Amino acid sequence: MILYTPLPLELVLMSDNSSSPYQEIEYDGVTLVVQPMAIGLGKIVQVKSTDPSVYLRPELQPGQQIPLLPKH
Amino acid sequence: MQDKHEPTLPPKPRKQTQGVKKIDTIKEFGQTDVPTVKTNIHCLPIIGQIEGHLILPPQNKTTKYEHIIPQLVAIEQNPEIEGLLIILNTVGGDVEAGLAIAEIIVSMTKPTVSLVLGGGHSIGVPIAVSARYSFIAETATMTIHPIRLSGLVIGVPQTYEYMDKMQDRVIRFVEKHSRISEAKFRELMFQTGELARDIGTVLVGRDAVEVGLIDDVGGINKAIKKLQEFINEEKNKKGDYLH
Repeated sequence: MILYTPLPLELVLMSDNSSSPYQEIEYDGVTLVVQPMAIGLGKIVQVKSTDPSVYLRPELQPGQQIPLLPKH
Repeated sequence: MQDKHEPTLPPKPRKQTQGVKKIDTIKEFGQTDVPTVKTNIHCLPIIGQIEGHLILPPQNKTTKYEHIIPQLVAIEQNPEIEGLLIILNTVGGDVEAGLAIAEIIVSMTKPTVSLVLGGGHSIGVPIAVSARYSFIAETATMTIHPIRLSGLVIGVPQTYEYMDKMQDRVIRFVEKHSRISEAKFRELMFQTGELARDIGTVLVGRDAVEVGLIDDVGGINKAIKKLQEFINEEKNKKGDYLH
């Protein structure tokens, strides 16, 4: 892998060994990055879609809480 | 093209007027099943680091090529999507992943327009030029610099030659898909005195257009208008296309 970036590589590759607190889920056909809050509950952090109308859906706004099924 | 993809709504004939359809469904059926207004233009944001063969540490915001490429394939195939707007605000990243995304965009038959907002640095440059037409915001910047000799490839005997080849791939791609000449691009890449920690050049808004890298300075208005123009041209050429 070759990184081509103006950022100092130590900044990019610096690792505090923590794993990401976020989880990626599929909700109603949309990929969401979710922060687990409690069992079965998550908060939307990011919406990943190329369809601009998805970003207008009120229930998919970042910060909204959504049901989170446990990972299989 | 006719808009045939509106979901058919259950009874209530007197409420079939188009403008109130959406609000009605919120009232009648609750939020989750609201038939959203479909747009014929999709938008692909390329943000943070472009992530390739290795997963970057979690403090990086990343765009993963294994997400982007299937999305591009889906956009190419979906007859309801007529154009693609690529929004870039990236600090570069993996060379191969970046080039892979750029090659897919270049080979798409659907009209594509890119818009550099904030920054489109390093490997973001080939992605920006891969669209049929490219825009840069007045305040956005693009950094052009050589691929560095540090990082994860150190230790490979052919390192230098390999890096040089990688760099040539990027340069050739940019030269082929923009108005800039190879010599000019190399000159910008190896410029001294512009960057504090590195050799290279930072192009701000209009500079990128003047050197021929980007087609025009503009924002979302110009980008959507251009895309719409391409879509209309495409329609005139082929009539309604189905592929």
